[in-house]
Amino acid sequence: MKGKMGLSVCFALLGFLFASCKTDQEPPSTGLDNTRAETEGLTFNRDIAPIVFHNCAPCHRPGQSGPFSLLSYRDVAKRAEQIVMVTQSRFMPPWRPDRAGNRFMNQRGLDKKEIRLLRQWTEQGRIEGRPEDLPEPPRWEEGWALGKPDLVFRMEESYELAAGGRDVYRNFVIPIPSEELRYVRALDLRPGNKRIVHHATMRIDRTLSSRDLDRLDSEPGFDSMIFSKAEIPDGFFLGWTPGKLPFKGYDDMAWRLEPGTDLVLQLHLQPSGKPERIQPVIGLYFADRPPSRSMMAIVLENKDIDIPAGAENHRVSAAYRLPVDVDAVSIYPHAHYLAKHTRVWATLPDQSRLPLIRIEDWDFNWQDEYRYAEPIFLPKGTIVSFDYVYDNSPQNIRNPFHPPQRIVYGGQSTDEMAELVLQVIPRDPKHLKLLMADYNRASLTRDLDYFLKKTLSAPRSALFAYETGLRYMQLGQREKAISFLETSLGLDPAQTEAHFNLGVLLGGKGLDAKAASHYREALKYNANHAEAHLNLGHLMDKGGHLSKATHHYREALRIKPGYALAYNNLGFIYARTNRLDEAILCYQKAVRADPQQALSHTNLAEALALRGLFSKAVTNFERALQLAPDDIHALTALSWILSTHTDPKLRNPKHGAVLAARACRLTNFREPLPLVRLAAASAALNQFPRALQLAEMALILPQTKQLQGLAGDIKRQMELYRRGETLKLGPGPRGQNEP
Amino acid sequence: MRFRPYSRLPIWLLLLAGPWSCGPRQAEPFDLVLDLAGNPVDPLARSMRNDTEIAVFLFMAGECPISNRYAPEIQRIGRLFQKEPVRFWSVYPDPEEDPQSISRHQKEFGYSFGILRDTGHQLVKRCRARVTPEAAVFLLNKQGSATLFYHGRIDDRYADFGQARAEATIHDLERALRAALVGEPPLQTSTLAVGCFIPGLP
Repeated sequence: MKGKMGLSVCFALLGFLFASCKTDQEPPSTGLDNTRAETEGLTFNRDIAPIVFHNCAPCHRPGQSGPFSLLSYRDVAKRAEQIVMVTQSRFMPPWRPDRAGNRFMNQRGLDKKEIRLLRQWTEQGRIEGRPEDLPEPPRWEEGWALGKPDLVFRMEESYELAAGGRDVYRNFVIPIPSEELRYVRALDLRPGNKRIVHHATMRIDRTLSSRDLDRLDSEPGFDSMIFSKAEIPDGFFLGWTPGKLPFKGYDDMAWRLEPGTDLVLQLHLQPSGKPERIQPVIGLYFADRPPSRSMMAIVLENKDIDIPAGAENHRVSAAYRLPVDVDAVSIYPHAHYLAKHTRVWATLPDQSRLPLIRIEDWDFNWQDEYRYAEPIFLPKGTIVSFDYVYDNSPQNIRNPFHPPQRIVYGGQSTDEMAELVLQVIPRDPKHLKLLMADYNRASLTRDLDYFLKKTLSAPRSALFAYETGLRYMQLGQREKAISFLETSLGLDPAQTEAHFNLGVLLGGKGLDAKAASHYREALKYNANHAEAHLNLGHLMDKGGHLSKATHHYREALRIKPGYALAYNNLGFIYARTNRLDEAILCYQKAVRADPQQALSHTNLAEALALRGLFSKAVTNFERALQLAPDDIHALTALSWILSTHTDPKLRNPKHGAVLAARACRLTNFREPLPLVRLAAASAALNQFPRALQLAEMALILPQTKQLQGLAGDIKRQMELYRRGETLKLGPGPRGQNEP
Repeated sequence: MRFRPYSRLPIWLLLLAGPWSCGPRQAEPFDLVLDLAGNPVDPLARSMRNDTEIAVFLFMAGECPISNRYAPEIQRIGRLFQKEPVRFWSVYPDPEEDPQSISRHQKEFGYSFGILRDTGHQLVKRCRARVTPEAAVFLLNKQGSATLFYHGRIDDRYADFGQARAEATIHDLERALRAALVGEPPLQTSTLAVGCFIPGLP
């Protein structure tokens, strides 16, 4: 460094000379030699301002993430050496992925020429230049970047971040105040304090179980990196990083938002040196129609992480084979402090390799979701793989522990994770179900292997036994699931979810009393478990305890006001206890809360028909059949109305016959009701011999309770058919011969 | 990316600012160091001392995130030594930081030390400060002279921009003060500080 002394003296003297000169110097003539003009006589206004305005100013301006502004000559000249240093080291602008790799949207970074210009301008004395050379300063929209949101909501309480200490990773649970089912095409987050929020990711929780984690301490939110029951909604990865513009979304894709959903907002907060309050605001933009295409977030993960203290190059990998053609649209690698390289690639069926992302100097503080400039096509059979390398040695300055400690998978920021979220769109929308089923199975199997391993090595751990049992349950292996859940509860009875899930499993086996007792235990540990109330209500109903059932359904609705199934079940009780109007009201609420649920439509239709409101009943039956074309109940009920109603606006025996015939085929002509309905339709079409034949077929079926109940009606109908008469259903409080 | 450690001062100034300027010679007059009211102050003058034996200068800047992040730690150190004959000063070396913004900054970040505006960089040069935050410790002897005992970083939390530990492992300033109080030499007379460059340095 000593050799540079002389040089530094020269520059220092030059610096003094230039600094004390007037600021509106004439630049040297730009005649013939362009390179000379470029590298000598650089001025801020002509050469540097465009670089700074484009690359730095978006964050380095008031109200944004940068700690100081870089908007004017003074701002920049004052900090010129520092700017040179941070741009040469590429600390700024922040961009971690390999610059020679994949192209991403809104990629940040200066090219070599721009970095050189900054340095040369500084060395030449930071000349301001002619005012007329200064380009228009950039203008930014105030307010929401995507325009006025359709729904704006905020965290209920503000959170105070302490002045000092380590970075904080905290999840905040924010109820989304939507009364109806909506489809969200875009989301924007206003953190409220951009200087301390380093980044954010969001998921949605339909189970409302995150609220329980929130209640564990008196401050808003809970510390964790793991989202637990909160999910990535319909494949949409929701994230925020400083300076990043929100993604405006697609016309034909959006995620489903049901009423009674919470948003779980995970914030990475960096203490600033003084106490800070934060109360983020979220804006949602709705699509005007349900999506016609779907996205999926493939989450590749390896939980089997065990990094010895001192290990410098600990490798963790994972892979997944795509079962269908997809286009990859964005990627989000995730690890914590110890990761140093993250590499993700795709191996195509022809064995060639495609890079997906490469970050050679992983920095936990600068996590981001990267959206590809062009979606990447990955054909069926492509294997997506990642390789993450971790450094748990003292040389890794970001190691949270001094001296280093053994680090395993976990939810604290000082634990480690190895995860990758790849957002993909199946080329053929019909492949989505296949992809989801395949992915779920692969990810469950992988998790099961991990938790089995953990529970075998730590048999006294209630948590691992529970997680193992849960995976068996999700894979449909009921007996093993029951065994592990019982083990877990034996070790620690105070587990709401374990009791709830065991209740579900036992209820599935018909062990209603045991199931009910577990639901009660779940509610003992968490009185606000809406699903436990619902399931318990269902068991009470089954056992004939209707008022208890009603109580539990009402509790479920108190906790989760948009709970469609609870409305449906409550309506069903009213329908059977002569409170038809209340039943209709409940079913209507169920339909509004979840218009995609066929059952509620069918129930509503039946109740309306009982009420004599046949036109509305028909509409709802038709809706139910749109959602579930093979619903026997809806098919037979609608067929009946169409075949027998006297109002020519409703009557349509031809269609009634089609529906009834379908029901017959679906039941292999072995159920009485579809046959009876087909008989009625045939009679309405004047095909009396056929009608009689079908009715006869119904009567000679094996005697079941249903058939016994119908037998009288069938015989009466056959009498009519023999006389060449049909049944007539008119408007009125009660139709004839309703099932 | 390492800081270049060589001094930015031209050689001829270095000759004057070398170790022998801190020996038996009298302290330079600090007529461009001002208090918030704009009055010149000499924080190392005998008349300022009372029983103070050690003066600590903390160079800071209102807009520097690293400097600000250090506020709780600096105050912790202040409290640690509050019963000792140590006097702490907040020094603002950016002439563009005016008294109002400094007051606001002090209040927001909970500082309560004496405040100095080093508009002419007299202290900066004397303490060889290059960035904020940076610390300098002077021993004040009974004869009236002031010796630079330690200058550099407060602790080892930052190795570079974007290269920070979760927590510091070496607390250099605290260690230097403890050594000074018991009359021992510092383990290191200077360390490399990481932070925002002090603007206007040659």
